[in-house]
Amino acid sequence: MQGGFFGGGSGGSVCMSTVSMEDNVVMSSEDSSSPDEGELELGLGLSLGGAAGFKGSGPRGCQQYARILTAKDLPSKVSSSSSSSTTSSSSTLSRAIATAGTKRTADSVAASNGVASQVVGWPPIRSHRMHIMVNQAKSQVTEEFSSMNKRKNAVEEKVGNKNINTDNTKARTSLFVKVNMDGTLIGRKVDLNAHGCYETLAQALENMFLRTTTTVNMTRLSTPEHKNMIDAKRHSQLLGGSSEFVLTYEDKDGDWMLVGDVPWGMFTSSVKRLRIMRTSEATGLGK
Amino acid sequence: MNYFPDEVLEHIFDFVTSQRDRNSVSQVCKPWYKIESSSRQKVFVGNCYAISPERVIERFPGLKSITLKGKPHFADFNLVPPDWGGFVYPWIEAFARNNMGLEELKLKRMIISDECLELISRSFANFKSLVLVSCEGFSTDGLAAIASNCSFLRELDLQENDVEDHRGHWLSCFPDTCTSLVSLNFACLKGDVNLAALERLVARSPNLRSLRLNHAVPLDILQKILMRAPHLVDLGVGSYVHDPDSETYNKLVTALQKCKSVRSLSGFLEAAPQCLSAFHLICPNLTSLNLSYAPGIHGTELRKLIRHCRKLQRLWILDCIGDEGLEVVASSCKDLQEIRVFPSDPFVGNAAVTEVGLVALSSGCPKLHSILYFCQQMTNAALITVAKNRPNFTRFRLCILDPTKPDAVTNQPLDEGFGAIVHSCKGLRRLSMSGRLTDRVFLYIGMYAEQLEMISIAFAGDTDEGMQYLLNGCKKLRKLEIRDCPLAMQRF
Repeated sequence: MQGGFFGGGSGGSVCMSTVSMEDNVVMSSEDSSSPDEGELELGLGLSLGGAAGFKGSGPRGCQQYARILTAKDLPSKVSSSSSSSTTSSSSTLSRAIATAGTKRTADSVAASNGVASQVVGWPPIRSHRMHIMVNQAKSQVTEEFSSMNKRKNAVEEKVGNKNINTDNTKARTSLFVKVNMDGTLIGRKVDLNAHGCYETLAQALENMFLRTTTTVNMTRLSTPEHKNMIDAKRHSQLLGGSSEFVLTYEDKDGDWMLVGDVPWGMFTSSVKRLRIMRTSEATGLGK
Repeated sequence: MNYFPDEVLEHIFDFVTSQRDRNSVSQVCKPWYKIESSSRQKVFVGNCYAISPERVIERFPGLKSITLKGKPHFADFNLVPPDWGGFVYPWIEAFARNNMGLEELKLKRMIISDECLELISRSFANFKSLVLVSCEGFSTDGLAAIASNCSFLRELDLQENDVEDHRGHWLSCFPDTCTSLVSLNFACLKGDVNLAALERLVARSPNLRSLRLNHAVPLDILQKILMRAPHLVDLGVGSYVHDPDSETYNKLVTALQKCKSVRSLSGFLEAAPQCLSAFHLICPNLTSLNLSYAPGIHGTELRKLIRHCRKLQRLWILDCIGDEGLEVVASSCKDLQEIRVFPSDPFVGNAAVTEVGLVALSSGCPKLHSILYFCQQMTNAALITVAKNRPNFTRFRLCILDPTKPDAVTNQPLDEGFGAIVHSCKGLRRLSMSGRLTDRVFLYIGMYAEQLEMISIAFAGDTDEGMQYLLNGCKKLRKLEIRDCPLAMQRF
């Protein structure tokens, strides 16, 4: 089946080769008038992660890649109670979110609903535009929620989060901060304003970083017993201090602090960026 | 060659402005090379690592304006590691050290620090224009340095940069003596700006023709600004949320009535779609409209707006306009040359435009030659129709949100459709493809796309042969972007 080259996603990365065919790289043609032309100039062969997956086999649904923006960056409160506050458009999202833990299912849900496959750098849109789309989808979901809430006494869950969103759907902007993880080359960005509390943030980050394709590939190839072991590992909490990694942030003063000590609002107002640190390196952080 | 004194040749070369032509001139003979190099003022470096700053300075001592590009295009989509490079500091440092009379700097996908901005502001007395596109590494502090020290600044244009916003008063840093501003674009800044300082700046800038505001500038300030700058040609509205019955809105209408020169409109970064009718006044003169950051504008309000834009040449829009909306575009905008339709939500399977909108545009807009189209699905039949309707495409970029989706009706690969495009559009220079594609499409491209200079491919092709067809056939190919293609994997 033609779609085999989803295999390119192993290691949560993409094997990318770009080739510049310019004869005269220095004095090349005049820039076109529209700044968004985005022309490739540099020849660069990058192979991030193994090429092992290129033999791509099986249906699309089996593969998973890192994503630049995921449904999880959207109001993830929807995930725990996937049913309420959704219409047709958002229900796809929530279903994708709800099943995201099991990669296979998420992809088949995605595939069956025609949701854009979760591929790094696809669709090819600049991050600035992504911000707009995240906000738009957010306001859709929250507006629907608030109207449903009025119509029927909807399930009250994570009240705190909901209030934050229903209060200021229009005025709220996104707060994207960088997230890097020790041992991972390419960082991610997460919108803190899409989360109302540490739990959902940690969940989102775990999904971004810890459910890597290594674990996915291992899951695919391994026996059921092995798979359980992996699942157990996956459930390690970034916040619980019981796993190999711990979540830290750099605050306004430039200090690295453990995430989770201060109230959420205080955290979002002082955080500059996040880092998933190895627990072994994290000793010495104030608690 | 020796008939003319150097000054005459130099004068003649002044009329040769495009980089390509100047490069050709410099290759004719040694004397021409010397004269051209010493007189060239505008230099374009497409790859900042292809040549050293020292070499550029040596060759073009009269350099006044430089454009530098850093990271590859894929960096926009997070496909390049963050520490790849593209630092501009070495260039600025070299220019400063060599006392170059730098006046204009345009950077794309580069990293520029606050220190670097400060160095620029202090080193070049005649510095006039700073244009930063998709750059990062700086904050509003760096902007403050530029504002404070560049006495003759004409242009500060920030497009889609990642700027750390310290909410400083960089706008207040423009001294009262600075009255030279022609163009100011800070739409990408995330933080608040000093609104009073903004108003005063506009008031003392009689030459201001282009102003793009960020979301922190509310409607009442916009109205005051427009009253002070009725000669604006390019306007980017910040926030457009208001009560339609308010006095502010009425004042805005009055202000817009005076703005007879506006030809380009963008922004609406936060918009309440009611009462866009205030802008119906300026729509008839618009040649460029960019609503791709305005998800709040859609539906009937959007269509009403478009219907007034009879002279539109360039339209950037979100796909929430829908196929229906594109049909309105096709029937109203007969001068349309370029259109870009961006996705408003990349994850929902209900992307609002399909092949229907594309076909409508191709049949309704006779001058359309450049398109970027993000859509839900495509068919070979539609592409064949588009190719027949519109053989004048020079840039054709199609992005199906599901990157390997086949023909939505027949389930076949889209080879025939894209083949028709390259066969019919003899002037095609840039092509981006998506959807299910086999080696066959590369056969067609190699055979027909004689003018093709840049191609972007993702998830396409089967074997090496595809690449061979492409590389052997397209003699003018300069830039090739590939990701996730089996044909590439085996060869590279």
